[in-house]
Amino acid sequence: MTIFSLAVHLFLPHHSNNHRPKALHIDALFIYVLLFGLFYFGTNALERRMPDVLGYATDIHVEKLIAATNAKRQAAGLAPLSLDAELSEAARKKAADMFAKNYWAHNSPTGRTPWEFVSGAGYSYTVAGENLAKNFSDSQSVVDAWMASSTHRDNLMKVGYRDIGFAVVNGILNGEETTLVVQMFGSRVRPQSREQTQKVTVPLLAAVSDQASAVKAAASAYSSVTKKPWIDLGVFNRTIVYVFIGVLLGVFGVDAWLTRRRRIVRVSGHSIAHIAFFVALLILISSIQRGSLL
Amino acid sequence: MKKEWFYLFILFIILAGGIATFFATAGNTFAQRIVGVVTTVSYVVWGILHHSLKEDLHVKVVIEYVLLGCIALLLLFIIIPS
Repeated sequence: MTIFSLAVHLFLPHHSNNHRPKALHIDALFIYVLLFGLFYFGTNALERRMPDVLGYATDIHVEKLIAATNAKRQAAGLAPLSLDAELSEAARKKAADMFAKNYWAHNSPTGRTPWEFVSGAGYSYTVAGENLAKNFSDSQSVVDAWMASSTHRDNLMKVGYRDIGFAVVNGILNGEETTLVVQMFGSRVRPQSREQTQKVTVPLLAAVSDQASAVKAAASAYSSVTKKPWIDLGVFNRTIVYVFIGVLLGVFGVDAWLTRRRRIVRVSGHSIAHIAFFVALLILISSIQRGSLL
Repeated sequence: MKKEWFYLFILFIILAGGIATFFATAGNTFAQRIVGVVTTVSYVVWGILHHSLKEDLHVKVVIEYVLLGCIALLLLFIIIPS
């Protein structure tokens, strides 16, 4: 069998395949189910066991998050926000609490609110807010997703906020490796001038060098998550799914056209219906984002 | 032929409803999985009823719809985050 006749046998209705492309026969469909079932469970197991080999690529940095947030604010004519160490500490503690108590919510299962974390970090606020994001691949897509959500955009664009704090942390949430981004906003009870803030903050950190280095280390540990597995599962999965659906739609399309043209009568499903169903699936899959907000 | 278009119209309503509900539940992956399952089951039921009404229903046709539904769900679950 030549390559051409094999291709005809696989993808076109022909007497060799009983006028139904072999790629659409029941046994072929059954093989696809088995292969995709194996693929689904296999990649999930591999991702858990060897995340450095097969996993989701992540590149999120606090500096980029602040730059993107302030760019959006400045584009709307609002003042940029200043990174605040206490708000960042509140964000870090909130992220740690979410991993420790395994929850994805603004309030903890024990009823602890975001404002308690803000106050607990020593930040006395007149107004405060929190945005959460998980499992985004890069900093810009986090900010873009927040901007696309009205409630999160309201926080980003609030006139009353002066300060911002971030924590970007990787951990296990609900049994899955998760990259959390906690964004805290606030405005102090008595806003200090920039000079006053420098006077208070800098000597305090400089005076206690051990403490300063510890704070720096803690800050850097929660300021970025970068993961570059050998195979980026997000891209890998989408490529395989898109290619498969594309080929399947192509075979259904040619099959529908040829059977109509040749007036072939046979026992099989409705090719136009199958095409409509898989086009709908393609639309659903294209809309899915791995990252989610709260 | 008119009947055929009517059946296809019903299918498009089912699929459009599935897509709209899927978009409406964006961000809730559990709800999106449920919407995917319900839409797929509706598609399989539509296929079986359609061929039954056309009086050309055969066990091979039922298996074909069920297997295509399984493939679609697996592809969807591969992409939907856990």
